[in-house]
Amino acid sequence: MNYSNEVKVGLSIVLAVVVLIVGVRYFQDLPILSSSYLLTANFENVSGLSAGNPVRLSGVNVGTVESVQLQQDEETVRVRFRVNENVLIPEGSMAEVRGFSALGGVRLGIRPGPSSNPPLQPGSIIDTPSGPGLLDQLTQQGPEMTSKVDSVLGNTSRATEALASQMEEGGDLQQTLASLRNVATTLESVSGGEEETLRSAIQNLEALTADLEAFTSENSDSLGVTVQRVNQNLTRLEQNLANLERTTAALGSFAEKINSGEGTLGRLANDPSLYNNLDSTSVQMNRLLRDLQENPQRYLEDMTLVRMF
Amino acid sequence: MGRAFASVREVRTYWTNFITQMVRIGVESIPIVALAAAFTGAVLTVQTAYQLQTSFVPNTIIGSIVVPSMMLELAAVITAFILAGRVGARIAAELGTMRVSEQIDALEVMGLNSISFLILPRVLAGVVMFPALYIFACLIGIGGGLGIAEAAGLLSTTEFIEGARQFYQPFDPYFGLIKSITFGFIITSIACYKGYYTQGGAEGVGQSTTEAAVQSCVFVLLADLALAVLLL
Amino acid sequence: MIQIEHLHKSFGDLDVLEDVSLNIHEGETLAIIGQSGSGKSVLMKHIVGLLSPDRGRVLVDDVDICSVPYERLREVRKHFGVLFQGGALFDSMTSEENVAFPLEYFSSRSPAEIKARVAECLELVRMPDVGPKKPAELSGGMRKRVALARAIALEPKYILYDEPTSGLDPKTSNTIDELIQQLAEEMNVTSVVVTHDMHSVFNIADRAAFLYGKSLHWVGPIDAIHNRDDPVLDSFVTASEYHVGTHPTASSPS
Repeated sequence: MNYSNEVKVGLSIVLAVVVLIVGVRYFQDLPILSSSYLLTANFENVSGLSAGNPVRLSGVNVGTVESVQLQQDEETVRVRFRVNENVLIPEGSMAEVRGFSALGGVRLGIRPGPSSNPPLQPGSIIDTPSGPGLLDQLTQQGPEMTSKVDSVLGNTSRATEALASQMEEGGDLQQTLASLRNVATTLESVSGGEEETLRSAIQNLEALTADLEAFTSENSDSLGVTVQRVNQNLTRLEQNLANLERTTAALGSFAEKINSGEGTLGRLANDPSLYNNLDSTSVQMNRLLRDLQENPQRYLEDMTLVRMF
Repeated sequence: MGRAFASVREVRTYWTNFITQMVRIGVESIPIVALAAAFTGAVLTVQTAYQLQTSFVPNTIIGSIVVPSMMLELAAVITAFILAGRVGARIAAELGTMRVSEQIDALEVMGLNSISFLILPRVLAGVVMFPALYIFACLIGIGGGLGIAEAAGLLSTTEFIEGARQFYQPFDPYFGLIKSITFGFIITSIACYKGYYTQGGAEGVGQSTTEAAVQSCVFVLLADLALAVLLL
Repeated sequence: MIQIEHLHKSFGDLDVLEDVSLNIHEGETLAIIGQSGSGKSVLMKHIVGLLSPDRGRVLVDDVDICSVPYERLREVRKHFGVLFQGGALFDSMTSEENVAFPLEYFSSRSPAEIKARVAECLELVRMPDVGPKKPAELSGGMRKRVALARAIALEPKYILYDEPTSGLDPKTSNTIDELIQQLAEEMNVTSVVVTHDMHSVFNIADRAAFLYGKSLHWVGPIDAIHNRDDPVLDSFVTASEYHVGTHPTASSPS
């Protein structure tokens, strides 16, 4: 009677403990029977990683984060995590935090080292990539990038303004159009020369988007590089626009000089006496020719004289 | 030597008491707790599915809602409410009757410490068996949700489990365990207190029983809130 | 030897006992008599420390049980056997288990010896056949006798009886009285009987203590109880004699 009670109680408790262990492991997506071993990684920043987050190797759950502890004296975060017994991680592997905590998907990713290396022993420390986390890199360079984009836009707007003022300054319409055409040509040649760069910039942007996408789906590790590339492209774009601005300004002053009659071309364009001279010359020429038709002898004497020689 | 024999026997009697209480509080409560948990899990799943049916939220979210709800709150609280009636009332009535029929006095007069003899095994049994009942309630509640989801074609088991895993926090089941231990302590100790200090015959026993059931429910709710605020 | 010295007890605003002093001698049978609600049961509960006095003290074998630590009190209580009004048998156990209960806790007997002692005690109260029965299956008188068997199992020095004959028919009452006498003689125990059954008092008691109006009104040998000079005592004694053995169950004030 007593024993049967003890058996009932014992069975219930044992069953409950088994259900708890199996259930917890089941919901953590861990193999139910095999055991695991512990590894440690030290991060400067864990971007919201917390105990219980999964550990993934090549996108497969292989364990869980056991604890995340801030080591204030060393200014690092010590992450201890469990990896399933049957998963061997070669030496030289890197652990990194992936995903955004806002999306509820922070995880510890493991970039495997060369598979020829011996596996890491339980309790050992796994390397982490140096430098700030990717997300923070992006965040840190954000203001810088914004200011660059800003200055590029400023330059563009100045260049446009110069063009517009060029348009507005009256003068001869023809001249303005001519200078405008010149400007356009220059612009064309400028953009023609930089076409490659622009295209590559666009391509890089495309690649960046793709990388970002891949990053969100946790695969990208080249975001940092991309960010740098975008930076370089923006710098180059800025330089191009600065050139454009200078060219426009030169064109402007050139057109202005033509208008004000400075230089040969200007005088040519602006001095009426040349036209008058030419005009009178042609009038005299006309008169001379008519005279020649009417009195050819007068000129023929001279012609005979010439024939004598 | 003789004293040692007696204390061995004393320990054995306490142990038997403890086991008996664990059977009464825990093992015998499994069927009703399982029934309530299964229905709660099923209803929760159906209603969550109903609420989400017109939105673009993926089906897996149903699993992400049902499983943590069971683990964090429902399994523990439903177990506690059922046992406040089943166990709390039983303990209060039992001890109350012992008080008014002078059985507690009889124990005292024999030289036994009636508090450790009567109250300790009951409270301990509550603290040990409540977590076990909570675990069964979780298992059966989630199972009930899964079953109805599959049976009514709301979502597949795979989706359900995937959703549950997606937002699974390892602290969830342990939080539930902490709750159930607290509730076990609250219900059994309130019931023991009410029963042990019963006054005034059959009417007093009735009053103690009612007070034990009602006050345990109130204190369970308060403790539930306090734990949620303190630990989450 | 039990000495009660200047005992005061009140429950809230209600004074129950005022300045009660009483000595109970070794080997005697003392009857505490009085009307229902006069504080008899309260006085008895003080003797075993179930209640503690507001003022005054109770000495059992020169140990002040009102001020000793709980563990020491438990030791003192082992010298007592108490027969409660309703028997107070543990209703989750059979009669045998009830009688064996104190033996299992407080004696060094082996299981076989316990079994023998249980049979002996049940034999003594003339209930040898009820062993496997639970209290609910027994009549009131049978329950009291099994409870008495439990009270004497550890061979106590003092036995306290709380209304041992109340609610019983005259024949059963007489049987209980005989048992009380028999135990007092054979085991040489000191008995304290709380009762309002004067018939029973005349049968068993050596001395009587009469509680009236919160205090002890009269204490003396049983032969002197027909004291015509004391109208209060006299009216109680005479009134009781008309109702021998047929009192309805009276509840004590506590």
